[in-house]
Amino acid sequence: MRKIILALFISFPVAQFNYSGEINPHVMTRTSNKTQINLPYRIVSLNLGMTMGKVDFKMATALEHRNSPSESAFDIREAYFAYYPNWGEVKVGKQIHAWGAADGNNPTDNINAYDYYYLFDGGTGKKVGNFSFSSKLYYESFQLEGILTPKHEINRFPYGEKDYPLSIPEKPTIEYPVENDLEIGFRVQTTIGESDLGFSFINGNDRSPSVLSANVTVQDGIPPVINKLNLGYRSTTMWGLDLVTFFGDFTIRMESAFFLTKTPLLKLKVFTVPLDLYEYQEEINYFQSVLQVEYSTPSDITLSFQLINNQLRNQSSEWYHTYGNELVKFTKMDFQPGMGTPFAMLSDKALLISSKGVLMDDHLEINGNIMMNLDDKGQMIGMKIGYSPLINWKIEAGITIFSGDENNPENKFTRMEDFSNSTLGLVYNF
Amino acid sequence: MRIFFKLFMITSISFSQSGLEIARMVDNRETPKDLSNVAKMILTNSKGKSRINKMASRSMDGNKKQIIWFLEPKDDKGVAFLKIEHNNKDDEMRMWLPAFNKVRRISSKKKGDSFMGSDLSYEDMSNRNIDEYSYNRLDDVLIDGKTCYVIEAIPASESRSSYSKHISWIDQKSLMAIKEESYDRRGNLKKKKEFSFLELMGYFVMNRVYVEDVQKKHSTEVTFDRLEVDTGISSNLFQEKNLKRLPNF
Repeated sequence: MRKIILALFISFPVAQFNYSGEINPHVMTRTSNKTQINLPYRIVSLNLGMTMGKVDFKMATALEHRNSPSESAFDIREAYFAYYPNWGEVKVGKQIHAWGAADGNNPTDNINAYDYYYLFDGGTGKKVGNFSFSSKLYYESFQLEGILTPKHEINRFPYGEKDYPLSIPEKPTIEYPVENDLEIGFRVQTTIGESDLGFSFINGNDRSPSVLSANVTVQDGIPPVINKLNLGYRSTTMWGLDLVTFFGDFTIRMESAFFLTKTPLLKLKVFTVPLDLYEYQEEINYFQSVLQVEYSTPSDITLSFQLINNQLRNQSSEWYHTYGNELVKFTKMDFQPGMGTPFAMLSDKALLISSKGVLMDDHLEINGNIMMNLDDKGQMIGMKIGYSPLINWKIEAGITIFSGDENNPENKFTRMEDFSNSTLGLVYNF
Repeated sequence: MRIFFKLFMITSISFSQSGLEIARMVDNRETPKDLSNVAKMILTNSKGKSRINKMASRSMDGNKKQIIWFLEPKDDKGVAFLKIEHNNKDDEMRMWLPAFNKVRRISSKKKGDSFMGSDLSYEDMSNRNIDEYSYNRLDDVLIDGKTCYVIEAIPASESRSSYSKHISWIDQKSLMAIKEESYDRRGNLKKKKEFSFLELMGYFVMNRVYVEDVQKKHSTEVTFDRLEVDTGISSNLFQEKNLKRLPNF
C-alpha cells in the first residue's frame, strides 16, 4: 500500500487530473399522509481521475446522508487502477462492472452485488463495488473479458427500515459463510453484420442468503416444529446471452440468462452438530430474460418497452437428518433468486414502458415510467421532471405511485402502496 | 487573341465539368490523415437564449473514424461518442455513459436524429457517399470574392436520407464548401449552413460551422480550436476502451 501511495505521489507532476460530481439534496414525501420517507441517499458524489500515460487511477466516492436524524457516511464506491495497453485494458481494485445489452434490468449483470436502497436508481448507483481483477482484450470485432473476484460480496438490504416497503425486520445471522470466495466471470462480444452479440458466464455465490439447514423438533404424532432456520449462500452458475440489433427505426436489445443454483455441501464439525439439525439440499434452475424495443420519435422523444421475465424451471429439494442421513418430508422452502435482475423480486413477468423527452433546448427533461405486473395485479406509475434554469443547476420533481390488489395484502405491489411518494430535489453538477 | 483563346478554354473546361465531377474533385481533395480539435457548440433558440457545449474530438480517414468526448455541460462530462463509417454496411455508433459504466450501441439508421440537441444531425456529421447521390451543376456565383461552384445533390431513394436535396456552394480554389442549403423530404428549406476554414500544414481545415434550422428557428454555431493535423493518431484510438479516457487537451 505504501509503495502504491509513493508511486502516486511521484507521478503527480506528470499526471493529468480530472474530477466531476454532483450535489443532490432532496426530500421524499409519502403521498398518502405527506410524511417524510426517511431513507439514506447520496447527497454528494465525487469522481476523481488521474492519468499517467497508459495508466489511470479512478475513484468514485459518495456522501450518504439521512435527513432525520441528520447523519452522514462517506463511501468509497470504486477505487482502481486501469492500464490500457494497445491490445485492451487491465483493471485492479474496487470496481463496478456492467454487463448486458438492456437498460436498467440486466439478468446477465451479476458480477457486483446490488444495493437495495438504490434499487430504483438508474446506472451503477444501485450496485456495490467489489475488489476484482479484470482484463479485456480487443481483437478485430471481438472483445474478450475476464473478471476474477477473490472475495464474496453480498447485497445490501435495508434491515429494520420501517420506511422501506420490503424491508427485513432485522439483519439475519449467517450460519454458514461461503467456503469458496473466488468467483470468475467471462464475457465474449462480437459484431456480426449490424448486430452486437455477447455470451457471458459467471461461477460464484448467491448475493442474498437462503435456508441451508434448520433445527427441527420431531415427535411422533405431531407435525415437526422448526425452531430455527440457518442461512448461507448457494453456489450459482450463470450462462448468459445478449444481443443488440436494429430493425428499421427500432433498436432491439435482448438479454437472457440461465441459472443453475445449488446448496453447497456444509462443512460441519461432527462432534458439535446438534442432534436436531436437518440439512436442506436443493438444486434449482431458473431463467430470466429481458426484451427491449426502443424507438425515437421525430420530435426526439425516446420510447422504450421492456418485457421482463423470471421463470423457475426446475426445483428439486430434500430435507435430511444430518446424523441419521435419512430423508424426511418437511415443507419445501420458497425459492428466491440469489442472482439476476433485482426486479424479479417484484414480479415474475412485467412490462416496463418508459419515455424520455427533452424540451426547451435541453432546459426541461421529462421522464415517464409505467411498470405493469403481468403475473398478478399490480402496477407502478412514475413521472419525473427536471428543469435547468442555469447551466449545471437543475430542479427535479417526481412522483411514483404503486397500486396492488386490495384483496391480497401479501401482493408485493400492495405492500409497496404506502411507499408511493413524491420527491423534490436540487442538483448541482461540477 | 491567345489570351481570349486561353480564357475560352478555361471557361469551357470549367463549365464542362459536371456536378458529379465536381463532387468527385471535392471528395478527392487532399485531407489530413488525422485531425484533433476542441469544439465549442453554441445552441441558440428562437428567443435568443443560448446554451454552450464543449467537446474534444479526434478523427482520421477524412472523419470516417471519429471519437468525441463531451466536456461541458458538467452533467455530460465524460460521455463519449464513437463513430466508424463503413462502405458496405451501416455505420457503427457507440456512446460511453459513465453513469452506467457501459458502452451503448446506438442506431445509425435514423440519420436525421439530432446530435446532442443541436441543429446538426448524424447525417450532417457523416461523409456523403458519392454513389448515393445524383448531381446537377448550377450556375457559378461569386461569394465574398470567392468564385464558387454551385451543385445540387439529390440523395437516391435507398440512401435513407432525411433530406430531399442539398445545394452546396464550393470554393473553386480550396474545393471547400462555404455554404449549403438542405431541403426536407417535402422539398421545403430545412437548414442553412455556413462554413469557414483555414489553411493548416497545406490542408484546408474547417474552423467554424453555423447551422440554422429555418423551420425550428434555432441555430447552432460550432467553432473549432486547438486544431492539429497529421499528429500520427493510430487507428487503435477508435476502440471502445478509449471512450472511457478523457484525452489531455
